[in-house]
Amino acid sequence: MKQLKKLIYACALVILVQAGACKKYLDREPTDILLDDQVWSDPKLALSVLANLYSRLQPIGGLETGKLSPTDLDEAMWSGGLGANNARNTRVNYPYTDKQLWSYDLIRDVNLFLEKLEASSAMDAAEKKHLLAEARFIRAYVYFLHVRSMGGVPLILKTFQYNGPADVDAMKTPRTTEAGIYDFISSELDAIKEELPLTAGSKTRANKWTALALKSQAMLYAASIAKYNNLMADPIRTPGGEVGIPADRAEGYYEQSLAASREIIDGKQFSLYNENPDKVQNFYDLFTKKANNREVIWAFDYTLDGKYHDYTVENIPRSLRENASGAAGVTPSLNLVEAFDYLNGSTGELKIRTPNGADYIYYDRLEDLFAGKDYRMSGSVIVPGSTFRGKRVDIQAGVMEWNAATGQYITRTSADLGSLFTDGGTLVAADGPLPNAANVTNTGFYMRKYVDSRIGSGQSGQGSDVWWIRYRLGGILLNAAEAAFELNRPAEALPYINLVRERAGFGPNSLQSLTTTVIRKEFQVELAFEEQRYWDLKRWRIAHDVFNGNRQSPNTMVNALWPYRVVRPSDPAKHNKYVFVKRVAPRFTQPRLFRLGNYYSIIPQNALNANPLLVKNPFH
Amino acid sequence: MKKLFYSIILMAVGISGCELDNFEPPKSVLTGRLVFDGKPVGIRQGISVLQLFQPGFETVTPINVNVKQDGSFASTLFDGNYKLIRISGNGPWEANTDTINVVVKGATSFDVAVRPYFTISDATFTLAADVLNATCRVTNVVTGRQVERISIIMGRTTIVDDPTKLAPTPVDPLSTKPGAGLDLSQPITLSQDLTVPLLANSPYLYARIALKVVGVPELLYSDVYPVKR
Repeated sequence: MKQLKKLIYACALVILVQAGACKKYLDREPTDILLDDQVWSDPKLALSVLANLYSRLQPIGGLETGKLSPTDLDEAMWSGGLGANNARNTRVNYPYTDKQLWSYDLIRDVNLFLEKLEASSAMDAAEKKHLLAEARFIRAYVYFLHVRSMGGVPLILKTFQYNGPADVDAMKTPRTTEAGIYDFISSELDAIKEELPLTAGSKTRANKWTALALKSQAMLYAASIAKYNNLMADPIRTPGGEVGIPADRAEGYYEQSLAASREIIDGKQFSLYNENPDKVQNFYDLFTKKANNREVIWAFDYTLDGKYHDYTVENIPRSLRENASGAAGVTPSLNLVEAFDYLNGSTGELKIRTPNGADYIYYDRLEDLFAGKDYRMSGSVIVPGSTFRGKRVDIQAGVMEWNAATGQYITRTSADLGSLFTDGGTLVAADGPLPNAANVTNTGFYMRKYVDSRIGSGQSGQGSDVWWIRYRLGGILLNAAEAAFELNRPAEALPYINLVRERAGFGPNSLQSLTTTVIRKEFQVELAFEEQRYWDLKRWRIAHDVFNGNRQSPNTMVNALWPYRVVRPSDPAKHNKYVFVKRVAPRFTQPRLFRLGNYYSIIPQNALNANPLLVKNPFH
Repeated sequence: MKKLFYSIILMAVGISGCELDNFEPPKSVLTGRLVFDGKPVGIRQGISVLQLFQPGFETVTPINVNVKQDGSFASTLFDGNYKLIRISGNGPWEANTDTINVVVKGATSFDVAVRPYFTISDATFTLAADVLNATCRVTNVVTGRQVERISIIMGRTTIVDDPTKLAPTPVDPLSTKPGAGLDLSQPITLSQDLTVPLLANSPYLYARIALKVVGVPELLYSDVYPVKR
């Protein structure tokens, strides 16, 4: 009995001691996460939170997940693997979820950043002001991405805390009008632009000029919607204005856009990239050379130390690929190639038949067909006979053999790349095209813009560190030209657009007069593959006309240009020359159909279920 | 052996244990047509024009109703009260956002009235010497609307519409008429030469008249005519 009592006392003592120690034992600093106080008292840690926000700013387009976006348009098609992505060539219409964006997790994180930083007292005042302005810029940019895709969205400028079901009703926020979001972007940018760094020291972080560039773009979009939406047979709008902007706002938005563009142009912080006397190479370098690039205003940068992309792996010409698979993913269309004018000012249609249409035009070399075209064409697209990475890219679909008996050509082809014809010459070139093969061009062209010329960048384990340019002076000049033209000031618009064309290789003052068609074409060719055209067609409200689902319309199908070598020994003027055939790309089967319901993406059903105050977008 | 026996028993228990999620599937069929003046309206199969909602539940996820190209639809549902909406702007007819209440109880038939911008009536097709001739009457229903073009479109399957149509080259100039200068008081005649490459080799062909209204992406269609030759 005594023994047992002793044991109980001993146990009780041990428990008591342990319990007393408990408080201290459990109250420890975590070693794997950082606490609020730690983050918001250290500028370096706060900056890394901001870096995270920047890194999440690329949901659509770009060189990573959105790199296939040119294949949504008449710019390019998918020539890569025959798997899921091939559906891009065969889709009956764009789904309503296309370009859908509802990133309230990101918006919450930006708001959280602003609130925490505001409350922090440990931060140096100037540093704090700078970081706050930067986060507000990010928020304005995120709202711009949303309004572009979805129309007016709920404008949430603070974080919500959930303390039980009673709070939920207060969190339900209706959509702001489309004009309201654009007005918010405008006023935010005006408020912060002087609090951001005034020099363009960083190309990746926000400064005054980035804010102005966003304003130039956002206000131009708002203005075009205000103007062109109301010119439609049935303007797209909701009764509450969540979609659609009144026509009388157009002029004001154009003025704001022009003022922002002008401030950038007159600020002289940037200049058009003009480092290489070879105009083709110069236009290509603009996108791939980071050093001493004074045209870039805001870019999404990559580095080989861990943050690189596989854009080059996917899009490099077949014969140059460094990987066992991939290559030739996004291939430019003939539609785009012909959109580039000739340097002498004539329209860009390629001359492949004699004027009366009776016969082909015979070219000595593949590249001769493209002589005299806008240098930007060869700077953006690898055409047959171009050189890339110091190697010639030969593109030849087969041989046209003359049959003297019938007086016609017989087309000879092969399924093998780099095959030879019976006369010992090339049958199908090493870079195709082939009608139904994966990873070889289907259109007769390859991508050049943003494709890295550095050896090694085509390996999937390494990749490319070419950056993605969001804003550059060339685009701002075009924004200024469009805004000035819409404000009926052609004399102001002309110098802007001519400056862009002069860098491209046209002579000074190459345009004497402007029309909307001329301006729109300039946007199309200067900014091809830069995630511009989709949104341009949308804001001009012509997407449903350009992609009207009629396969006889000029731009609903992706067209291809297939070169052939002529075998006709009896006629030395034609023997071993090259002829070209225009055709619809064989892997591209469905005409593009942009429905009115695609002007605004569908609001996710879970958002509608959670918040009955949300109004649906039209046509959904 | 014993193991096998036990696992069979376990499986049997598992299968019979699903009492809770063994719902009766829906079996009441709602059928109907899109009609104007009692006549069905032809559309492109697959466009999203009708949605059903069943109020009183937590979520508001709509039930999409697939409409066939002849304007008919069928939806298998649970009995109950539904709200039917015509998604405005998607079809080639005047927008109408009025909600229609539909009571589904057993097999239910319900026609949905729409007001198309134009109607195509009396469409007849005749085949003479490898030329397909078509005539029809076009009536303007909603004033202020213009015809952009009217054309014969061809397909290899019974489903024929503008995005999937065959595009024979050379284009027969008589197969399409532009809206400008079109006299709607007279029957409209169109014809398509069937000897051109893409059509000559097709054993089966189907034809339809399609009418495009200015500013409206979706077209109006006649019935489908099977071309027998």
